[in-house]
Amino acid sequence: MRKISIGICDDGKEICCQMEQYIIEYGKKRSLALECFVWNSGEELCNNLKQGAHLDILFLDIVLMEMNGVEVGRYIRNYLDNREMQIIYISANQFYAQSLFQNQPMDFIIKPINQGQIVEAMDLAITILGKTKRNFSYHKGNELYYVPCSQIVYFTSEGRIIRMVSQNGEDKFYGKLEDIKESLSEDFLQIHKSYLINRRWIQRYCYEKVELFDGTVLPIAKAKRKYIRENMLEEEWDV
Amino acid sequence: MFNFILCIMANIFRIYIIRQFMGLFYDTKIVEKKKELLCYVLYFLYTIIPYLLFHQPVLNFITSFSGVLVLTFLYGKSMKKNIFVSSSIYIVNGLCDCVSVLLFVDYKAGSDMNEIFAVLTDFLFWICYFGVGRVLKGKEKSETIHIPLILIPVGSVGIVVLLVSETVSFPIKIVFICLVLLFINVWTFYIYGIISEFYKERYEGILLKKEVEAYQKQSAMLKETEERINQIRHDLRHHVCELRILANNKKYEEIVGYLDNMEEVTEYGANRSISGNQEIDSMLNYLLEKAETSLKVVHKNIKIPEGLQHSMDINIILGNLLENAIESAEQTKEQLLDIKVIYRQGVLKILVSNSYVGSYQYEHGVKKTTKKEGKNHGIGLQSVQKTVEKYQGVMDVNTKNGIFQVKIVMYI
Repeated sequence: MRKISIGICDDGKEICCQMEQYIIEYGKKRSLALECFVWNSGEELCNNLKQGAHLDILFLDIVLMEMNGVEVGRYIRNYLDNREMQIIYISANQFYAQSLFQNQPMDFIIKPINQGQIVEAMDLAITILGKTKRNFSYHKGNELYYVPCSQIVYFTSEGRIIRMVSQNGEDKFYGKLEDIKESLSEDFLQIHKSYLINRRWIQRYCYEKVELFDGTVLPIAKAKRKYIRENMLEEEWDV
Repeated sequence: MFNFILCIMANIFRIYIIRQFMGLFYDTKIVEKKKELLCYVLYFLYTIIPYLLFHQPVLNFITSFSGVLVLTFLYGKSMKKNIFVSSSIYIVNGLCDCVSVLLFVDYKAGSDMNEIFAVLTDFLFWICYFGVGRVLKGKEKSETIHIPLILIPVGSVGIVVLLVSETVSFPIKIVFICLVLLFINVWTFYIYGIISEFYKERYEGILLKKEVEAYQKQSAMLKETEERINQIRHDLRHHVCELRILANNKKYEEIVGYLDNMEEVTEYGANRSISGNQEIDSMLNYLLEKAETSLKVVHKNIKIPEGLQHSMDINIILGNLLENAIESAEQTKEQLLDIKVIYRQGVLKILVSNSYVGSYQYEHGVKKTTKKEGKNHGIGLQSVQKTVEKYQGVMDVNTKNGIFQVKIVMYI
């Protein structure tokens, strides 16, 4: 099993050191195999990510020297198409620009940073990662294919065929939405008889429809609207 | 003679019911009252004259159906919908006709008994209206009718049927009784309409008053904030003067002490602004400060973007909820308040929970409260509910283990 990789990106070197310390202590406390990387500028981080560096969790300062935290977040989500990475913004105050929310941050922490904030954020991030880290498998002909759940945008059924839209393109296979539902992570939400979508790819919920990050708008079935709304009342109050 | 009056009455009543039916499908308020009345009078003449002159069932059918179809164009322009509505109304009317005929054994078209059938049809048609109304608008409280009220037309049908089946030889008496019954029916429902309209207006008046109060409070808060900012500006000028004097005298240690002091003050201020959304902040800061001074434990987690829209409505919600929460938490030992306001993926979620005393519970939208002016508390929540519904949201109120909790989800 791979170590959980955590990134810190802040232009304050002392803050980075301190956070690294807290994270290492957290790893010991929870007996988790962690590795921690530090960047002092947004460009460096983006370059490394582009070259294939993998991060599960990123603590990202909003105010950086050249490329700011909002831009880095947008780069990760939109350019690298990575929706799995849990981004926690570090902020000097409690003003949150609207554009920050579009990058789907997991949380915000406010300077000065203390151990408690890190522990809370890490706990939550690891719980979420645990839920999303699953593969979905399907048969096509005699061959078995695997896709990480987090890369799937949505499934739609067209008669006996299921069309799967993922960030790497589309694929079709025989099956029923009802049957594949169980093998998916909790992130998947059935909004319609023929649509099963990944919540992480939702940009915006409305009462009668959802808008995805790529601009697709999918309808929520009349019978499901109330259910989905009630569900939101019950869950995710801490995220 | 009686027969003639009865015929006129029955037709007027039938047209009144048709008008009520229209109200189920269209927004009838868009049409001017006078114009509407005129159209219905024309419709009345258009149907009654051929009816009295010719007594031809086919002709009657054609005139009244085409008349209803024309009337629908008063309210809506969609041909499809209008045809659907007018034929639905007509089918219901026709079915009632058949039923009333079936209730008698010896029906002859064009006989004297015709008018009694018409009255009976009206009663049945009226009952159908309530049935359809319940199905279409069942969930809106103001539209529902109490069951005992339905017993009036139902009972009237019973009386007419009994009378007709026993004393066929004296139609005049029956006609007279029918007239009286018709009158009682029309009058009761007319009065009922007025009373329910009155209550609706009164209720809306109370809600409106609450909203106005909320806005007034908010503007008072803004004023207070403004005054405070002026105070800070004044203080700052004073601090600069002091520091300059100290610096000129090279008293560096005192300068550091002075600065430490100032930092404490600014830190207090920094904690207060919460989201960067000015309107919401001024409301939240005011109420949270009130909470922090009067309560022991206050948890807050507020993560909303600066440019969040509809802040006025959000303020109505937060203001009402927090005021209620602080007030009831004050009376408890724990004095606990927890507030979460979270925005993500187009959804605003609000959670306010507080400790409370007393045994009241929340059931079906009505809360039994410990406050003296109990109704106001309920109204507060109702105006929150109303605002939440504006955004297709939902509100859930819970009481558990001495904690009163309100949860809201709305689409912004």
